[in-house]
Amino acid sequence: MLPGELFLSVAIGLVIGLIVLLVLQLIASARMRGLTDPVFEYARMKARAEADRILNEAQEKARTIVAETAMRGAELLEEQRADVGKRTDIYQKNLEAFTEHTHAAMEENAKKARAEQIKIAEAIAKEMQAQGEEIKARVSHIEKDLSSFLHDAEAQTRDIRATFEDQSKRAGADMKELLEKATTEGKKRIDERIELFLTEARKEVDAYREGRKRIIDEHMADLVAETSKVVLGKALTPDDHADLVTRALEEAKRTGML
Amino acid sequence: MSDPQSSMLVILQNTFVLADLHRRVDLLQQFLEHSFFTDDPQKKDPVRSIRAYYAEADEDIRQHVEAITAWGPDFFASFNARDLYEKVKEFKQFIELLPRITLYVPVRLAPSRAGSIGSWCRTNIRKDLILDLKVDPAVVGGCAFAYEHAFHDLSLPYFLRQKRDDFAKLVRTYAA
Repeated sequence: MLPGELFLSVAIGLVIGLIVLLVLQLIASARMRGLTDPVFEYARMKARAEADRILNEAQEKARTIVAETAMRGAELLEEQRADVGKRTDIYQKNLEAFTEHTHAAMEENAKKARAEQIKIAEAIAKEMQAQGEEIKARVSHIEKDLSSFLHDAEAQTRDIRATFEDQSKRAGADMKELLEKATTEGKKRIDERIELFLTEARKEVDAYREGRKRIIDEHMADLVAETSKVVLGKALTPDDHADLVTRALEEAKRTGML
Repeated sequence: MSDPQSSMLVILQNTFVLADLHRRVDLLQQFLEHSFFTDDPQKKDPVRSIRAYYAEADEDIRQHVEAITAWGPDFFASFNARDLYEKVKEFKQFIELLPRITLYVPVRLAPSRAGSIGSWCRTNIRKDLILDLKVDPAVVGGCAFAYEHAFHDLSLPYFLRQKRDDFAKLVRTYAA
């Protein structure tokens, strides 16, 4: 046998041997799988059961958390509602207190305005009365002066007349002419004095009238304003007030304030 | 309408008085909290839902709610649970920046009349003006107001001063 043939025979023998070993290995593997499959199946089933249990527990916990959150949310909402209710009550009470306070303040203002009005009216009346008294005294004084003057004039006339009568008895017709002349002059002097007194009396009356007008002018606006405030504050409806507000704004626009 | 400025312009269309503005924003916030954070069955129809939510409230609140419903479904759709509080905060900041006229009136005016006066101010003074009403019995017969750092009193004494000569003539007529 040649060396080449020997080498070939050995190689073939090795290949055949390897094939035989491979077949034996496959048979052994098939037998091992047949023995180990139930164990793997058991382990897999157990793992799945464990996973299901964990999943169920997680879902249960999640449901519990959701339910607790919902309940807590409802409680918080209820608390908020109760808080809003309390705040609304406090707001109502504050509003009522404020309304009462405003009403009281308005009443107080009305009282003050009324008192101020009475005070102004009394001051005017007092001043007018004082001036009236003064004028009355002056007029009375003038009347007395006039009466005294007339009395004196009459006495003088009587004296002159007596003198002239005496003289007429002594002087005759010429004396009569003198008597008439003196009478005329006396009458003229009386008329002049009367006219003078009347002029002064007229001046006094005019001064009194002007004084009274001045007092009225000075206090009239205040009196009217205070009176109107008292009256308008009570007599006007809210709609009337709203109309006046609009009118005031229109005036402001017209005069360039707005 | 997603930005607060646009939403505020919608609100101002039928809101003229500052106190009403604050009240309506608060009522809106309260309703939206209810809508977003509870199981509101009418969530898809906010106009109906807000009416139902405030159905038991007093007349004053229901009038405000009617004004809120006039802002329309698009207005409500511009809110969501995530940015509700941020938007309300921006509203309140925006309100503080609005130009305002402080008006002193002698008595508390009916809401409709207050609204009319506010509308007059928007028409005749400034279109985004808000009216801050305050009650002061001393301004009977008219009103007083503060606007752009100036105060003006147009109550009864102002009109009487204007008619002073007429009064003087009248009194002289009776005194003569």
